[in-house]
Amino acid sequence: MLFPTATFAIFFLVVLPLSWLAMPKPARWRPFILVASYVFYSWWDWRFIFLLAGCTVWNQVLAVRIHRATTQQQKKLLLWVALAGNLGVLGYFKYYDFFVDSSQSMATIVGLDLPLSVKTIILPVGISFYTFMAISYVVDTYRGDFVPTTLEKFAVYLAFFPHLVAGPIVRPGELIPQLDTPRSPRRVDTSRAFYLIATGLFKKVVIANYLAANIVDEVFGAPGQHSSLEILIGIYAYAVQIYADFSGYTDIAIGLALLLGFTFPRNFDSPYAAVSIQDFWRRWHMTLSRWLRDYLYIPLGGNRKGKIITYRNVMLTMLIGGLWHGAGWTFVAWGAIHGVALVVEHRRRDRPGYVEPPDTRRRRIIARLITFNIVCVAWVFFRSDSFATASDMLTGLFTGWGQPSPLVTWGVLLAIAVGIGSQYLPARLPYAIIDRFGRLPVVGQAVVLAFSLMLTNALGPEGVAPFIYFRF
Amino acid sequence: MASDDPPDLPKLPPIRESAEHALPPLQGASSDQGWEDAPEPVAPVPLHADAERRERRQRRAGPSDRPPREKPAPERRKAVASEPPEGRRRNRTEDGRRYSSAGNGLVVALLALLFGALLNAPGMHKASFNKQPGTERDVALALTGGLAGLSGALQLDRPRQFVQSIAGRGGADEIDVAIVIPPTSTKPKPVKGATPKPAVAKPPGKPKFTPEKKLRLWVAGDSLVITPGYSIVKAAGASLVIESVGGVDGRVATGLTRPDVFNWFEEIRTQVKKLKPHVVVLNFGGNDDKAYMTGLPEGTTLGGFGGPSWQKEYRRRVAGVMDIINRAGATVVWIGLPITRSEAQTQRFDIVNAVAQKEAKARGSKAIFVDTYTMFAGDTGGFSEYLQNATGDTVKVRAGDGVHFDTEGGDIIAREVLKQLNKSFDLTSWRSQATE
Repeated sequence: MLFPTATFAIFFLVVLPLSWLAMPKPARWRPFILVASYVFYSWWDWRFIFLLAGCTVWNQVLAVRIHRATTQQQKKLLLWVALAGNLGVLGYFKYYDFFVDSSQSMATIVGLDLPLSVKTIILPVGISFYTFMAISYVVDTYRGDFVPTTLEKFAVYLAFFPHLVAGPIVRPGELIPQLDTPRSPRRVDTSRAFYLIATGLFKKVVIANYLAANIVDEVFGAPGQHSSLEILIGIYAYAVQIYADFSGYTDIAIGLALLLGFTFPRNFDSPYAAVSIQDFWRRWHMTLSRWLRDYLYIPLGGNRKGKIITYRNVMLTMLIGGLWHGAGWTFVAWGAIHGVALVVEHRRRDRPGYVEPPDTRRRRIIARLITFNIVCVAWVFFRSDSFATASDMLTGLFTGWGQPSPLVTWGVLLAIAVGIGSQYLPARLPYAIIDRFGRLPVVGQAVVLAFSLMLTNALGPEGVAPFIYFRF
Repeated sequence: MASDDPPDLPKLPPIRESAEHALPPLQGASSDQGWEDAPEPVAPVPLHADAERRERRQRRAGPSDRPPREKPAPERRKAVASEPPEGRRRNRTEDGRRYSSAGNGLVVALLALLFGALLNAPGMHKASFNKQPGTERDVALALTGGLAGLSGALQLDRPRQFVQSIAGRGGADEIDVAIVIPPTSTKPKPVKGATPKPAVAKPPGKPKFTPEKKLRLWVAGDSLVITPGYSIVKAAGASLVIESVGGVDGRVATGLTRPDVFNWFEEIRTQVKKLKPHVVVLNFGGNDDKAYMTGLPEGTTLGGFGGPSWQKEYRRRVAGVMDIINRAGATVVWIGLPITRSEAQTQRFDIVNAVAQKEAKARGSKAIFVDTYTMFAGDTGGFSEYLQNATGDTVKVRAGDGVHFDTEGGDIIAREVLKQLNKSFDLTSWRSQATE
């Protein structure tokens, strides 16, 4: 079930009142929401729910045993067992073919013939997200930051349908305590929830789809056939498309959770207004970047062990982060570009006698432009199906100026402007909109929302294109 | 709200990090958001909980895409310190708005969807019409039909029409099932080589193309055409004598059986007139393996999928599309349906292939059928996701769904299409003239 569908609207309209009816008795609410979430998940493929259930039981059993273990050695061993299980499942479903394919090409180079054969494995939707959440549960338990909860609560934490398929990656300490006590039906921030859902739908259904259909797919499909201007605008359009698509989807997720009474962490904070790559990673997919920080970068040694090890850790984190996004070397290249940019930024600051330059307006504009364009170069690898396409795109940026550019239309430029401009709005504006909306009477709120649904539906494509981030 | 309370954490000393991690804060960003220098759990747990609470509060304070906070960090901490007392905060969100109630939210959501459905009724009605036949479609049609009638009577469909007309999509909600095809082919053609067209089939008469007079090529079809389409366009780009016009017009979930979903007869007629291609590469049928069609001539019944009347009607449509193109002076390259992971689907695709192949054959050199079925069968003759490419490497040629092509598969088809074009057209003699 995708969020922007009529099926989901009906599902949610049934779940929302029932959830609030069951809410006063958590013992009744938890099984209810668990069943609802499994129904939601089984809509893709009913076999997936066994994987989700298995993942739940595996991690719960090990988390409890880690908590009870008396020696550090025992804890460590159990932690490795738990991690091996999670990464094994993720590796099998997501990376099996990639590893076989890559090791076979490598073996062919050295003249070996590996007895491995590729299999056809369906990637269960959302697996990358919930295995990461399960890992944070086990690791937090190991670190003593979190006491394992009951199996039932952990199952709800992992399967709660708003975040299940595409995040945000919620920490156990953020969600599980909310499952302990009934949410108050009198304290629901519906204005913000509706704002997030309506704008999220518009971003995802209108902006992202329009750019994909009108320039991005064409340009990335056959870069050699397009002018440099089309390629340049096509790359910017993709930057806006992936932002609108992904941030739109998680905004809807956060809004739905709010309506059900739960608070999720933010996932995006105007990433294209970042003034450095480091700043970008504080604003883009924030729940993933802090996951990578806490469960990968810091265990690797963080920045405690000298400059060189720090650079290595940054690089490794970004490369693995790249691979998380997809089983392909182009994703690794995407991570490498970010890693190198981060190391360069580190080095600049690490120079002896380095003084932070004053934060002037001009300096900030230049920093934003440079950051955005580095991010866009990395997106080229992220979107391209092969290195050949990526290199065609990048060379095409310089070789085809002055050719006609029929794909660069006012509509495309407007969609890009809206996508980027929305990240530079004065901070007060969204608050003011939410505040004004909240003061309207019930019918007035419904009319405003209905018109936003109409805009989204009238301008969106017929039939919604699949969401980019499900692949990951 | 319970989420405001410190999370249920054990009071243990931190084991993760030491204070060495803390680096100077960076350019006005809050350090607790960045993964880079990770100063987060430097304090004992109660403070960590406090930090989390602060983080959550900041989060809740703004919508997701709030522009950057440029306030210096110390000032923000001060703001946190001078918060209103707990009691007053309970009824207000962090940015001072009043909370609403769950019941209110539910009523707003219900009314908004209801009113939104009225505003969108024409579009929903068309979407229901485009569904696969069955109970779901019948119910959806009945419901949205009534809704569309009500919406029209109350003139609530006007705003949508207005928005669509501004966006240049006026009339997008009209249901169009009319199939306009050249009249002569309404009857099934006698096949078996009974319609020779010797004038165009003779090898000496191969139309000649040069870098000055390029062969114009257009690609269209359902979702299956997209990947090979781009491979063909790429290959055309590498050639001096082939020019891709109109890109790849690949439309997901369309075909020749459902002009209500997308009217290809209309589209092909318009595009051929506009683009004036010499060659049109088509791929249809991936969604046509069903016993249901719209736009049937009056009094026609279909029977089951693949039966005689189904084949007769499908042939009429395939022939119609080919005729539209041939009459505009262009040659059709019809990419057949491939073998797929599902045996049942492969069998159905074979019936569709048979119709297209016969129609192509009947047109001599004006229609070329590219048989992807055998091209994509594995060593044992069955479906294979991986094949050897031209350089002998094993490569992934099919997408994970077992139906569509992967890029390498598209390249294989592109190579075959070029080979066929070289047979039908003179694409090389300009070279010898150029060197003379």
